[in-house]
Amino acid sequence: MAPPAQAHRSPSPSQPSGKGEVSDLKSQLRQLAGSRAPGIDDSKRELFKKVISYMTIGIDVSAVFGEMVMCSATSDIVLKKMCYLYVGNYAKVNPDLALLTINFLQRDCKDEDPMIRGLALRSLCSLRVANLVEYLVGPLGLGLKDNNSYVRTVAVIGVLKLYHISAPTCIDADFPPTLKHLMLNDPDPQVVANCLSALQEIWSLEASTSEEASREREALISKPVIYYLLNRIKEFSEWAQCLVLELVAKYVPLDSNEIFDIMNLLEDRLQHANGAVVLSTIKVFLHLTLSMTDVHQQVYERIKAPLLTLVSSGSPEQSYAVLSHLHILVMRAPFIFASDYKHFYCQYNEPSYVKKLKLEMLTAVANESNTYEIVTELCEYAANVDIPIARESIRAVGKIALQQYDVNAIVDRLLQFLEMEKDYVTAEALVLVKDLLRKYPQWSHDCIAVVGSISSQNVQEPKAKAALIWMLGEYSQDMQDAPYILESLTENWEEEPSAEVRLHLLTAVMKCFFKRPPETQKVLGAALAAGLADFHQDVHDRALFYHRLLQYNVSVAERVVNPPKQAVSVFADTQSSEIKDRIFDEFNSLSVVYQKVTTMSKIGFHH
Amino acid sequence: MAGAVSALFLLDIKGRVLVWRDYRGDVSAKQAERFFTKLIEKDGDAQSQDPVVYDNGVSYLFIQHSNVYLMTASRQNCNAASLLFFLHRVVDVFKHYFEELEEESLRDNFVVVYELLDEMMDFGYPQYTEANILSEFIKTDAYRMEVTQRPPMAVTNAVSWRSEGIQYKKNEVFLDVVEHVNILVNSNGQIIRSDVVGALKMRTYLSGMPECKLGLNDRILLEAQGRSTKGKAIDLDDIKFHQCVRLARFENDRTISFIPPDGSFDLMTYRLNTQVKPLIWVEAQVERHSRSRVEILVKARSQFKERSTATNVEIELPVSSDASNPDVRTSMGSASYVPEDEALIWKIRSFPGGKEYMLRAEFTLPSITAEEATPERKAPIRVKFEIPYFTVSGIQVRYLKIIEKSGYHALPWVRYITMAGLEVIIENLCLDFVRNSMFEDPYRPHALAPFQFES
Repeated sequence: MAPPAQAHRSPSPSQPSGKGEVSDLKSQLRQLAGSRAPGIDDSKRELFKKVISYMTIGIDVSAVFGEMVMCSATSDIVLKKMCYLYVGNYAKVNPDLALLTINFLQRDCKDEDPMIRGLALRSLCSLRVANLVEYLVGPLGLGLKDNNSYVRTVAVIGVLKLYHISAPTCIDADFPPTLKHLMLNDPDPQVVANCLSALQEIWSLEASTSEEASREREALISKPVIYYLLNRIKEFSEWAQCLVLELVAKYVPLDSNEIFDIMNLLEDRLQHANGAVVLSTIKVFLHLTLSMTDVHQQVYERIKAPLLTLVSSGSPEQSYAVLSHLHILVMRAPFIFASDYKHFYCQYNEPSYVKKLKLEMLTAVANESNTYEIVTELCEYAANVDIPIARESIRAVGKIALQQYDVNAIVDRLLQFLEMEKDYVTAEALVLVKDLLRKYPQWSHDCIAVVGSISSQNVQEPKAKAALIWMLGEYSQDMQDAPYILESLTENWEEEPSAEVRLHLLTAVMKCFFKRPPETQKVLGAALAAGLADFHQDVHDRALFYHRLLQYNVSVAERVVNPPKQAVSVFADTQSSEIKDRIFDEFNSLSVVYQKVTTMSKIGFHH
Repeated sequence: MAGAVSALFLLDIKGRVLVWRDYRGDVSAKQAERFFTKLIEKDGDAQSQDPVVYDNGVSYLFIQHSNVYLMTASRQNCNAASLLFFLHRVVDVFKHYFEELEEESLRDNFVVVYELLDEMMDFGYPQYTEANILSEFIKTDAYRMEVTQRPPMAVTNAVSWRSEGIQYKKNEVFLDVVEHVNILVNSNGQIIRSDVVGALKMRTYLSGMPECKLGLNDRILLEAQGRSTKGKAIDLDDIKFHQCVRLARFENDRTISFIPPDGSFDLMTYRLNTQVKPLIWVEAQVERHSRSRVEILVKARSQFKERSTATNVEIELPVSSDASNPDVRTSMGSASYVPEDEALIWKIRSFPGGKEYMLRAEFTLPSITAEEATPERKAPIRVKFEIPYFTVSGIQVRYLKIIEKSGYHALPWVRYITMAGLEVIIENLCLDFVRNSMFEDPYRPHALAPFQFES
């Protein structure tokens, strides 16, 4: 069937602003309203289109309300549709007009054309005017019983709309039980799906005040309902399938036979062309098998191929959404994609939001066998034009280094970064080298040789500068120039904007002093004086503290400032495993993308 | 709760609302517009912005299509992936109606847009998104009215994607097997990654309710039937089917049987994990003749059988942004310098198998370089081309049977084509790079590792 041809489209509306056009329209509409000439509907349509265009581009055409309603006393469905659109838009802000509208919509709800009945009912329920709800109950009741499925699908959602305008009216009219009956008996799958959506919303909201509603909500995930929906799953539209699968994921089967039955039934959904269906099916599989370790592992194997396909085909936005899901899966089962890491290599013209997630994936799947390849690839990105991605890549290398036991090769790479002589690369690498040294002090010798050759003038970013200064203090006995570099940094105390850097400088000078007192004594005095005069409270306090500590007892001061250190074995994870589990429970939702959990009581996110 | 959408917006390239449909009345268009325009202004490049953003209690999910953004706003914890898939489906539907979805076509069709938005989603829940089915509901546009009014099709109809009573004078089916190959090659000339994504694209012009059956040289199927699979069968990883295919049937005996929708659709997609031999191998050399003159020499060699021919070959060579006065000679095809893309584009309309072509280009570079070195551009060389009548995977359609109860005879047409997806070569072949290594003897040819790509 050919799409509407270009030839039929109306010329673009120009951008009128004044009232002249509106009053013109008004008189034209008035002329047409009474006429019964042949072809009159075509002229009306052109006018109506104009009205809708004006409305869309933000011109107030509410003045022609009466004429519009008069003109739509016709059997022409196109005119009716445009009129519904128009009244739907203006009734909200103008309750007087809404009352006018109700009458004619109610009449159309009884039209002999099911299309008109459905459309009129949808418009009627969309008016959202609280004091008119009494007019909705009758047409809705008829709509739910209509013999045409289109009208019923509209009516079911209409019930939900009514509930949101006035919950008591909806409950008093006994609509929820009617929906339940329809859900379990209607031959039309879309009616069933809409009933499910509506009932889930209504009963979830009612559950806080009514025990019965909370029982009903539980009943939705009872065996009979779940089995009924599963048996019809192939009839549903793709989106309705997702809805049903989301519900099934909440179901708790009695025994393993049931689990296998459900999974066998749904196995073919993994081949569905719609990625949303595939993801929902995966959620069901993962949730059903949570308590069966072996099967759960098999599920990971089974879902791997479809997930990788979803990442590499389709739009970047889809890749983004799918990659977010892969990320939580890989957190739970790092092995699953360990041999498929090449799927997460970035492509040159991918948007950076996809690249960022791919970098996270590469970090997460790195293990003993693939680290070398992954790090090699990441090093390519470090020279990327896209500076944020280059930075992320370097950070990723660092994260991998902190995860791995065999960091030999990685340390070399990081040190190469330091020699690339690009400010942002040097900056990122310095921060990483610092973290690495805290975990693997045995590498200090190699690192210090390279770090020592970096000119502190080339490091401007506070985090990097602080890292460099920390290393100068910590390894001052190995770095020939350490006291002199610290000295020149102290001389520029006034120009240093970052308090963090100044704090580190104070501590580094102290450490250096304990290791090489004769060379550092002068700098220490200058640093403490500058610190005491600092306007930043923390810097001032720390300088004062050091000053008093030194006055009290130098060896005590050394034990406080420069004690022997233990290597950090594991850096604290930013996310607790409990949160990760809860995100996993909310698979297929925004939580996954935001990596945050909803609160149970209200809908919204903690930020 | 699955989560419903509060509103769907269609916005222009600057983020201003063109049309929107308010489904639940709990978000404001003004607020959304203010937020979104700020968002896309922020880095001047909307491409870098995550497609899911949160602001003041509302989650916005958006995609871009030509000069239009499609965006949903929601206050609930809705299914992000599903909604992004949904938005892409909305694009497909609009394209079906307006040929192309862009600002102009939306402005010309406000009424149809509203109608479509109303039928595709009700109160924030997705409804029908099949263009064929939607045409049952969408009545605007005068000529559609000439069609005798049918009652809206009951979806009780077992085949929700096809209406009854379709009639064609000539019954035909076109089946295109299209394969996209992506190959990534690193600076040492090694293939880092290759993958093949294929699709069977159908256009059906068939009357009535035809039953179709498709036979492929699928190894599992052939083995199950006890046929010899020597050399001809292929292994398909991860197949995905259009909803019309009876998945249970495929699970049981690997038969692909279906009642097709009317018009065009993707019957199935598949992915191949096997390493693909590169179809074209390219070598490049850069010679620096002096501080301000540089010459590149590129050889492209086709490595497929002589009876196949690659068409519309396009090789994009990155060139320094301040290069000028290009002097380019090619042994085949034409090359043009596109300064805005900082690239030299070499086009060869027809490139038969087993041939080698050359390109030689000379550029002038400014003799003075800027004090502040811009980050080194590390663009890959990219190649695009198509090879008709050829598939990388070797997939073959063995038969396509069409049976309809009226017993008409339908003509199936099958075509094969391999298309270059994007080929990315991470390669230092870039004039910037050469200029950075200025310490080298300027007269010594600077050879770089060979690199290659694949259609």
